[in-house]
Amino acid sequence: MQMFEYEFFRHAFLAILLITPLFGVLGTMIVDNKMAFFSDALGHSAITGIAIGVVLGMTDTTLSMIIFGIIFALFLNWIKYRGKAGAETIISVFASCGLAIGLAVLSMGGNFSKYNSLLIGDILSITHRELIGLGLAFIFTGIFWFFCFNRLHFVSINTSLAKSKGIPVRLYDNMFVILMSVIVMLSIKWVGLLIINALLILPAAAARNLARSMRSYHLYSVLIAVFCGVLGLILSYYTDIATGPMIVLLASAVFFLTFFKGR
Amino acid sequence: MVQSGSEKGKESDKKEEETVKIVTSFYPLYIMMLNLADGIDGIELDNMAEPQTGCLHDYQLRPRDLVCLEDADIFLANGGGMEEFLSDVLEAYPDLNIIYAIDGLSEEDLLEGHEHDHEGHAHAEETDTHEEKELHEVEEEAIHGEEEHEVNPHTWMNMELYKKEISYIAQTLAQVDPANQDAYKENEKRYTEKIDDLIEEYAALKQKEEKPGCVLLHESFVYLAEEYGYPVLETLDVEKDSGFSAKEMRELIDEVGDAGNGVIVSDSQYSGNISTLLAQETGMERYQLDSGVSGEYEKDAYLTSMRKNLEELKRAAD
Repeated sequence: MQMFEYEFFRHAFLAILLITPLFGVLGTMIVDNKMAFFSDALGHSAITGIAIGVVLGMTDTTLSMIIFGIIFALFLNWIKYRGKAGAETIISVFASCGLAIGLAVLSMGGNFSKYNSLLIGDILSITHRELIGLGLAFIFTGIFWFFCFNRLHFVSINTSLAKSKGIPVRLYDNMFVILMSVIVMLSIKWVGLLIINALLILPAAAARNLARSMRSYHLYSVLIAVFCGVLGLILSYYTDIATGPMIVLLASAVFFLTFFKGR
Repeated sequence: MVQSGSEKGKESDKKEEETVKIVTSFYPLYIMMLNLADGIDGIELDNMAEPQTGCLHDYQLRPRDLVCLEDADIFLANGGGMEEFLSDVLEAYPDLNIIYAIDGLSEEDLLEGHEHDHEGHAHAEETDTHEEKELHEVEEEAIHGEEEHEVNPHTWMNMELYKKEISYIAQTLAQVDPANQDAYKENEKRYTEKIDDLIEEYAALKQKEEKPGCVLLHESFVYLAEEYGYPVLETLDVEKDSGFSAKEMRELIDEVGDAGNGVIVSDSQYSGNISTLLAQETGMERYQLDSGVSGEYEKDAYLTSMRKNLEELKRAAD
């Protein structure tokens, strides 16, 4: 395995092993709750988070991204609860708005090329420290999932029943979107905002085509995500295709395969 | 009412006639002009591409830039393919007086341009800018009587060449604006003296015998390296920070690793992700130089950045 002689490859490999299972697990929840639009909006807003950080003169914009992401997610959630039919439109309006603000601020010097990496991601240049950050997010999500999954799942299947059983529905929902925004913001630099949603949705969607039970649904989603991630990285080692798009292409292929198999 | 209005119009016309508006294409030339036009009344200076712009080749024009060209008397550009972003624009201003800094240099001064084989830098050069190139080529041919080949346009990084450009531009300005010719000459002298002082500071470095080979991550540093005797092992134009495939990354690492024993020199205006990674992978030391294309609008910006480069070069040689 000559490729593992390169440190960047080892780092990227580790990063993929950390990010993809997270995406696989989160994706199932997003697909079940019909929140694909929501996570897309969240991804787009990351660029505003960075713009805010840049305007405030922060050297590391991760923090401003996370804070903005959480506020944005809670705000979207609030709209979702408040609105009836128009929620999807409103979310889309805010997503476009967020994207435009970010683009406007970041291109002010006439030079957006500095931020190109945000669009398509840059997993190959992930550093040691950033890997540790991802690792912490991984552990945290694992713990959260372990303790809260049953209730979250209950809420997503039947909200009113959950409510009547005394589960604080809104609280769980908000906790979930906060977790989602933290993970999206932490990984957007590596995955890229144009394709992050594809990575969140595709493995879960493909798994749903195959799965017969809740357990297998989650398992397949994680396995598909990890498989596409690792294979995508390896393929990008032999081709000129950037790693992020390669992974998404694979995930799409898997989705279509399972889609026709499931028919 | 009507009268006073037209009088006012006349007044402002007069004013416009009196002021010479000089627009520079990018930061290093603006800094040069800050010095050349220092203390001269009736000169309006404006710069086009803002200083935080990384790679000028990627520059996207904004409406403001065109407004700024609208009433310009002189447009000061670098030439040598630096102003690719203006290819189509300049055609719309056939009467604009354009001065190319590079025309102040002779053919022997110019280093050959590096082939732009890295994806991030392959900016559709062959197609988009053909016309501008042709335009300039015609001009060059008229001047040098020779065909222009791909040059390395980052000439300001060699202080001797920078001085030549200054004197060429000062002379040309004196011709265009004869009223101020003495002032231009005076300013040229003053600025050149400052640069001479700096060259003096560099002298010790020039004499130093053992210098490490350099892998340059930006072709602007070739001028600096050649002038001060740092062997250039390899010049790679790594101008994108992202979007690499793992294969491209591997090739880059191998290229740097194969270049031989030396140091990596990267441009401090980029994020540094790639150069850090290359340094880690190859075990080479990394040094960051400033190619002087970004910073504050200050008269001494060029001198300050070259002084910083001197420190960094000294460190690399120790």
